Amino acid sequence: MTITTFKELIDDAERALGEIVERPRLEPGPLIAAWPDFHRMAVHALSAASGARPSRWFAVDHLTDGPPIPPAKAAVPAPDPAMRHAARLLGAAGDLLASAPRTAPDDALLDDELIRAAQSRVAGILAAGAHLIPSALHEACVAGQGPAHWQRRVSAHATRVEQLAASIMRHAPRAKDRVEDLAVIAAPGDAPALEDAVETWARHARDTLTSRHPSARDLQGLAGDIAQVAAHSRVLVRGAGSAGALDLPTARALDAILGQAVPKWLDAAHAWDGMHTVTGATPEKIAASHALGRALGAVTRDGKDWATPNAVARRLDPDRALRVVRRGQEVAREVADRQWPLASAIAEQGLLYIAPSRATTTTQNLHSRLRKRLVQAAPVDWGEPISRLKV
Amino acid sequence: MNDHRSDRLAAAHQLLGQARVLSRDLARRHPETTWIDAYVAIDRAQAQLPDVDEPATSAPTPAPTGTDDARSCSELLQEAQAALARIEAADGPDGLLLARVYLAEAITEVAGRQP
Repeated sequence: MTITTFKELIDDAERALGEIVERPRLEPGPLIAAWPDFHRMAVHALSAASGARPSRWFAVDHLTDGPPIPPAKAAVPAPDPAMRHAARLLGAAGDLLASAPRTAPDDALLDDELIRAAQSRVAGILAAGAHLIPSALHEACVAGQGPAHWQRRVSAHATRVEQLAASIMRHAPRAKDRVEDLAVIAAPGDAPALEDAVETWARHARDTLTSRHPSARDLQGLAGDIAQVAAHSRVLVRGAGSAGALDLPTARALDAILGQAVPKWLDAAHAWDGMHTVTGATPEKIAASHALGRALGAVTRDGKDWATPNAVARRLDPDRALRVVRRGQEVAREVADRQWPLASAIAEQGLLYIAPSRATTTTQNLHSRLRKRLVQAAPVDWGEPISRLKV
Repeated sequence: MNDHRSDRLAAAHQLLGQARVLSRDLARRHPETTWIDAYVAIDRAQAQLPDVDEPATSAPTPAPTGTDDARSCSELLQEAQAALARIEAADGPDGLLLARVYLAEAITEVAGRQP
């Protein structure tokens, strides 16, 4: 057996997933049913080549966390045949990788460009397979079929896997940048909350901004993300206003500013379109941006429309929603500050973002909301005043 | 990749660029809708698309002409999908499958939208 055979297996796995992509409609149930095997086999293929697995290979280590197991009473359909087929092919590819000849047995994986390139391809397939899970669930949601709680957790797992796999995809072909592998650690856990998605995105945004040679494509994507965050923040602010966490005049003022910021950031994205840099888009930043969009949409959207303020307030605690708004605006402010020569041409009257402190619930609002939850205590019999007691 | 496949990839880049410009204009013109999400979905799909040649970023894309923006956007994406589907998995660049998955999602996001 040779690496050529490995390539054929990987090509076939890619074709199998390609068949799923071309379907007019994705069925989440069978894909979710096939996901655990697909994930396991892809991780097998990724890790098999690494031999002793250097401790720095954190991304692969984190990938080994399996998806949540469905509850016993859950009706799980038969696994999607194409994804299952792809899983088998990846499993076979993993077996081949494990038995591939090494030119440098002491440093098995990382000095072997051939194997690393192979890993990169597997990572790309894993990322694509992972992406299909939240994508299918989203389609089902738009069609009015809300997922079960455990399915949402599987989707969160797949989202996390996509980000990790995308980071391997980028790092694998670059043998000299091993130390960067340290930067792809993701906190394990269950469903990534909206705050986590925002934090991950903000971390990537900071990386783009502070990079010595930022990718123009990443900057352009960041401007688009900020436009999206501003648009979704309007919905969150309206929800907070409706729940009494913000004064209505404040909520309306913030809503208006955010509304003006959206087209400005779209203009920024357009203006940065023409910049050319040697570095292309970074896959894990795109994955983080996608996870953010999904997490925001889960709160702010109903199908293809915005959710009503009351629905938003029911789904997410208004204080948490405002925290998300503030974090998004902090990123917007940082981008505007650091990229000011470009952003200033777009900004008029400084309305690219709101001051994060403005999206804060006031003490009065907090008290008035708390007051609604207070229950009047039963009257207490304090007895005779001490002064009247005869000792 | 041979020239034939490069051409298809370049065509997909061009089509996605046009769809992105269209969706951005729609997001600007209809701020009360969720077109912004469609724009970002298309933007991400294009960003995932492997580069054809240097430079790494896409050149400014001219806005397409058309009367029905939503339909045109949808059509452009589907044409891009067809172009990518014609590239054999064995011969395509790394990451092409991921780009196809993102593109399929963008198509779903745009489908059925009214400006």
